[in-house]
Amino acid sequence: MTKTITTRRVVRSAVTNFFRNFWVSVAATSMVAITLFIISTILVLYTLAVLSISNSQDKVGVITAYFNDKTTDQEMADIKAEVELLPNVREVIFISHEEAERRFRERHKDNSILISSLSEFEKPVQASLSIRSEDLNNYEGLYNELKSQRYSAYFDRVSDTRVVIEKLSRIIDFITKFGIILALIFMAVTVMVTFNTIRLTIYNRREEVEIMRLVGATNWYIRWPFIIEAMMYAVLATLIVSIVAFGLLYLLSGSIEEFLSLDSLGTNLINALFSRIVIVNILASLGLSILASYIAIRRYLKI
Amino acid sequence: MIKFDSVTKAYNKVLALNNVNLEIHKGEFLSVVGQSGAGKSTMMSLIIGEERPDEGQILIDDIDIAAIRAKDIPYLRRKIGVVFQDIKLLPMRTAFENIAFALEVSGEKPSMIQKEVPKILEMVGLEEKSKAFPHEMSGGERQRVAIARALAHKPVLLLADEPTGNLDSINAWEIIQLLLKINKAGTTVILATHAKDIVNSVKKRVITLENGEVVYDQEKGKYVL
Ligand SMILES: Nc1ncnc2c1ncn2[C@@H]1O[C@H](COP(=O)(O)OP(=O)(O)OP(=O)(O)O)[C@@H](O)[C@H]1O
Ligand SMILES: [Mg+2]
Repeated sequence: MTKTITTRRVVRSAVTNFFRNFWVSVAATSMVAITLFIISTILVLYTLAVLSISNSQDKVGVITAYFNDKTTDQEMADIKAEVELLPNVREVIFISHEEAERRFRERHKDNSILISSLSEFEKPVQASLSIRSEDLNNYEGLYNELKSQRYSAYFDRVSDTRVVIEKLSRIIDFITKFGIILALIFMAVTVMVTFNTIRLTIYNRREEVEIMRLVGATNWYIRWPFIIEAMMYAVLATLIVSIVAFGLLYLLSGSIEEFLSLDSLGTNLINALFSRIVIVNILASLGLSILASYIAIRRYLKI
Repeated sequence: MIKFDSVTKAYNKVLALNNVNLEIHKGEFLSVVGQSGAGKSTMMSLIIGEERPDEGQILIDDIDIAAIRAKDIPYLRRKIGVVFQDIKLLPMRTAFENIAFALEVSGEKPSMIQKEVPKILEMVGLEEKSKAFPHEMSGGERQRVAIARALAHKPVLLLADEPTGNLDSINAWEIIQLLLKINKAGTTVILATHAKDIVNSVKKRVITLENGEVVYDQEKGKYVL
C-alpha cells in the first residue's frame, strides 16, 4: 500500500518536472528521437543488405549467360546441349526471351512506364542459360570457359552472382562501420543533452530537494523522479520514431521488395523489421537516458 | 538522550567545534548562544547527520550517529524536526500542502494526511491559514508553518536554528512561546539564537559557545556575552 502510494507520488513528481520545463523536455525528447531515427535507418539498411545477400546466395553457383539478339533458336538449343556436356555442369536451364519478358512483366507489374517501354524494342529482354555448377570450387573454370572464344559469338554477357555478393558485402561493411560510428556519435550527444536537461531540472528543484532531505525523504524517493523524467523522454521518442518508421516502411515497402526482388516476404518482412526497430529503440533510448540521468544524479544531487 | 563526547569538527582548516562535551536530556529546552561563527549551526548539522565529526562521538539514545548507514539517515531525520532562520517553505504550495509534503515523503496515506495536517495546523495556531500560500502570510506565520512541518513526523527532538532571526520582536516572542509549548508537550527542543532578551526571559538551560568551545553551561541561564 505504502509502496504504491510512494510510486504514484514519485511518478507524479516526474511528470510535473517534465511539464514545468516543457520546451526543454521537448528539446531533449527530440534529440533522443533523432538518434533513434538514425539507429533505425542503419538497422533497416543493414537488415535489407543482409537479406539481399542471402537472397543472392541462393543463386550462388548459378552462372547466367545471356544470348545476344543475333543467336537463332536453333543455335540456342545447340549451345544448351553443348554446355550440358561441359565438365562440372549439373544442370542447364534455358529461359527463352518470351519467358524472360513474362517474368519481367510480373516483377514490374506496378511500374507502368517500364512496362510500356518494353514494346519499343524488338526483343526487349534477353534469352539466357542458367548454368548450375556441380562443384563450387571449380566454378571459376566453368565461368572462364563460358567467357571463352568458343561462345563469345553467342553470349552477350556472362554474369556471376559472386560479383553481386561481393558488392553487397562491401555495402554491409560500409553500413556497419559508418553506421556504428554515426550511431555512437549521436548516442554520446544524446547522453550529454539528457544529462544537461536533468541537471537543469535538479537545479530548478534544489529547494524542494533540500526540504525533502530535511523532512527525511529517502535517497531513492528524491532520485527516482529525475530518472523517470529521463525515461519519459526515451519512451516518447521511441513512440514517435516507431510511428514514423512504421509509416515509412509501409510507404516504401513496394520499392524495397522490388529492389530486392522479394515477392513473397511482403508484410512479414515489414513486421519483422518493425518489431526489431521498436525493440532496439526502446532498449537504446532507455539505456541512454537512464545512464545520463544517473550520472547527473550522482554528480549534482547531494544526498 | 543526546551526548557529545569530545566532539571536534573542522571545515578545511576552520575549527568549528573544539572538543565539545555535552549531554542533553529528554524533555529539555536548551538554548545555544554565541557569536556568529561560534559553531551553533555546526552542532545542529552534526545532530541530523548532515556533517560528521572529525573526532569524538555523538550519541543519540546511545546510538553513534557516525555508525548509522547513509540509507538510514532519512529515518533519523524523521525523528528530528528542524527549522531555520530562512524558513524554507515551498512557494508554490499552500500552508497545508507544505506540511503535507513532509508526510508524503514518508509514504503516508492521503487519508491520514487529510486527518493529521489540520491537527498540526491547529497546534501552531494557523487553522485559518490552511489555504494560504507563503507569500500571503507574515514572516511569523511562515515560520509557524515551518515549525508545523517539522512536527509532522511527531519528532522526539526539535532543532530551531535562529528561528526568530528575521522576525520583529512580537513575532519572535510568539515563536518562542510556541517552542515552549511544544517542549511542554514532551518534545526536546534545542534553540540556537543571538537574541539576548529571549534567552534571558526563557529561563531554561543555556550553553554558550565561543570559538567552538563550550564556555558556559548554566541551568536557568542568562546570555552572558
Ligand atoms: N560548510 C562550511 N564550510 C566551511 N566553513 C564552514 C562551513 N560551515 C561553517 N563553517 C565555519 O565554521 C565556523 C562555525 O560556523 P557555524 O555556522 O556553526 O556558526 P554559527 O554559530 O551558527 O554562526 P551564526 O550565528 O552566524 O549562524 C565558522 O567559522 C564558519 O565560517
Ligand atoms: Mg548559524
